[in-house]
Amino acid sequence: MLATLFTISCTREIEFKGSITEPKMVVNGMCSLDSLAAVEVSLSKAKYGNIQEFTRVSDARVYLHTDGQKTDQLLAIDDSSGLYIGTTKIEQGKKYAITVEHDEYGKVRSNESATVKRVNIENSMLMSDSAQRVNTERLPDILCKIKFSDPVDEENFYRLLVSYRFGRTYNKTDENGNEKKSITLIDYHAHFESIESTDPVFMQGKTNDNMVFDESNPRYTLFTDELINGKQYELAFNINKSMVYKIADVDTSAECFYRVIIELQSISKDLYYYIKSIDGANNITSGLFTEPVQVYSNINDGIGIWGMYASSVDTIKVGEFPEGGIVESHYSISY
Amino acid sequence: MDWGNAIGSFRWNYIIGRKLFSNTTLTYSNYNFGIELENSEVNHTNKTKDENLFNYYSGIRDITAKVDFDYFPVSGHNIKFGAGYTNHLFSPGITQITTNNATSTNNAALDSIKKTQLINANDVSVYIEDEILIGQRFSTNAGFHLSALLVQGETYLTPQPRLSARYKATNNLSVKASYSRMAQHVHLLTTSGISLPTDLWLPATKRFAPPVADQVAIGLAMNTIRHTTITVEAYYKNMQNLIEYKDGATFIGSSANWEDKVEKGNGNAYGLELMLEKTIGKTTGWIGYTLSWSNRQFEKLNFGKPFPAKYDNRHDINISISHKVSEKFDLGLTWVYNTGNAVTLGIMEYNSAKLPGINSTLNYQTPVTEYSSRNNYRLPAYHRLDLGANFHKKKKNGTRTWSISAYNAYNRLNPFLVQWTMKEGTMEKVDGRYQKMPDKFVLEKLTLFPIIPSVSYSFKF
Repeated sequence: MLATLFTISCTREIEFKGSITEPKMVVNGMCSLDSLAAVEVSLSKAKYGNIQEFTRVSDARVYLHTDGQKTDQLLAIDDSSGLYIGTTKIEQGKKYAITVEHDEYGKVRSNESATVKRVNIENSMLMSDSAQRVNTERLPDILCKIKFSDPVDEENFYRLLVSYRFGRTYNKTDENGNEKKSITLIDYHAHFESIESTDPVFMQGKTNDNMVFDESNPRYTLFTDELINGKQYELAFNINKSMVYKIADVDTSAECFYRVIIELQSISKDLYYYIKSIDGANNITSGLFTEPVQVYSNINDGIGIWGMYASSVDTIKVGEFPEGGIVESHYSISY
Repeated sequence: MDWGNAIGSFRWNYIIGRKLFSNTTLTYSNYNFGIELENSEVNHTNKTKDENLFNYYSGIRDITAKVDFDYFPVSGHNIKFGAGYTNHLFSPGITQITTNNATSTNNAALDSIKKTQLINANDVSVYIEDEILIGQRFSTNAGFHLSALLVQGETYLTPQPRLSARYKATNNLSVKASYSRMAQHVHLLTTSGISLPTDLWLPATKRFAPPVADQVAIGLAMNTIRHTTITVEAYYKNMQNLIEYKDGATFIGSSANWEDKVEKGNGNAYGLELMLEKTIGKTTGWIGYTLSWSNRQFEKLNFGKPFPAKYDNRHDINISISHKVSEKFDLGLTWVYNTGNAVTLGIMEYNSAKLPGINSTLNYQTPVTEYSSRNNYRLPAYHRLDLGANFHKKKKNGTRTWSISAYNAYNRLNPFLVQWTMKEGTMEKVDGRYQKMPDKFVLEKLTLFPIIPSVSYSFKF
């Protein structure tokens, strides 16, 4: 009898008694300054029960509110994608909110998004010679620096992204081994593992998180103006562990040219919290001993994010980057 | 998983004079909590074996010396005073990862130990309080405790005033009210994601000041028939300097110091306690019921909104009854019930937004788990019945007792932990044809302690 009793102390299915099981409307909209307002509408699904795909909602009524007034209706671009686009361009200095209504799923409304101001990259440069033409598939780490001026007396939030591309001129041979013609490749993505920095602005608010999320290798970074409010600032960072995947037929001894594209996004506060929490949720090691990460939402009665951003993009060319050429389609990257 | 607590104490009572008594105590205690996870994989082709051992350990070693005095200077005053000193040695966490890759030609072993620095803390306290009788019906207790914690070069000095008053309305009814400030020099850190009993007691440090609580309470006590007392007390407690794990933090497997994994915040608790107690007669015992709320609010957790504490157990019932059948035989019964702990459980999933920007490789969607709030889900209620019977017999040199008991007598499968598990769809007959049903997520609980009978023998001399 004892053996039986001990055996039953094991894993058992129990009833889920959560209060929320019905799908909620998920509204995701990240609008760029000077671009048309756009959102994606889908449904959440209950964790409990049958595993199913996410449903996209293309028959909702989506309205844009500018400074508290309903100003535009966003229309679905098709019957299946759940994407809606309006006719209103997002302007600096105005506040926008979105409402989504659906006969079955009710009505949700975003918080009013704070206005964003474009912060230009005033200058960008390479800080090391090591990034000069290197004829190998593994590229050296690149140390970059950008200069920008944080607006005075405002709480600003930033996201810094890098795209790293290369071009190469080489002679391609045909199937018979005969040299065919000179080909210039342009704009291939080079893979890099992370952008890193010891700059206090870059690290600010991040040290602890990185220690918590041990495995994170960020390919972009978020920071605030807490340490640089109203100042012009030079931010240095490193693009680490770059590599170009081997392409069939490519003569790897040919000269390569690099182009580092840097984007400084000035983002709304809500968007900052959303991306920060998404990063956290994606980077944690799942398991019984890990605290769950709550992802930020500013959609009332629903889930999702309504945020604004303004981009400034600058490019650093290394070598004489080819202006035209052939982009070969067979080249692919896996991450 | 293992817990342990070793305690040793020495106590010396001394009557200094007719009005002054002393009580000196020396105590040693060593508490530890550990989790061990082991995984091994054997590759028969290469004749290799990889072993991964994870070991987490947290412990507190305390050495305490204290002296308490009772002084009766004049009628109507009972003055208690004393001082204490405790040396704490905290070992907040050790992770050990061992990998053995044993081949026929090569034996390699890698031991990696990440050891959190031991924290030594000295805790000094003095106190004085006076229980004063004013007339026949009114009494009050005024006291002042002062504690100092010396840790990592920091000194935390916490004055703790305490005041209580009691009014005896009738011979059988009294009312009371109290205020107290209390400081404790350790933090309780619990995980919210699961129901594992992974409570860690961590020291106050330079970064994390000792938790302090202010409590007010009012109550009444009533003597009823058959030597039974009923007490009712309502309380409100405000707590500061509490700690909770950050989102995404893990208490194992990370190189981060525990202080980097926690946030600081506040909390409150309030409720009503009812107690029915009988201390005289063949049948003695008590029935206690508590209705309570316990909340937390942290600036950087749950987006700054309040959330329930893990031990926000709304209802708590304790029943303990002993019945002396004869000099040779007595029976005992204990029943406990409490509302399940609050844990953080994913309840929904949805698609994330595509992040915009020049790097198109980042422009993808990922499924996001929605929790609605920290500690958003209630585990099933915990309840358990323990039964015992004692058989006493007087022997030449003392009394021997045989005890038979049953822990969790009705085999309640209380959850030890709860988690989502994917269950493969079954084959079911639909319209005369067998179809595979969709896979689904179900909630599963793990139970560890079923009914545990025991027999023991003791001899008192």
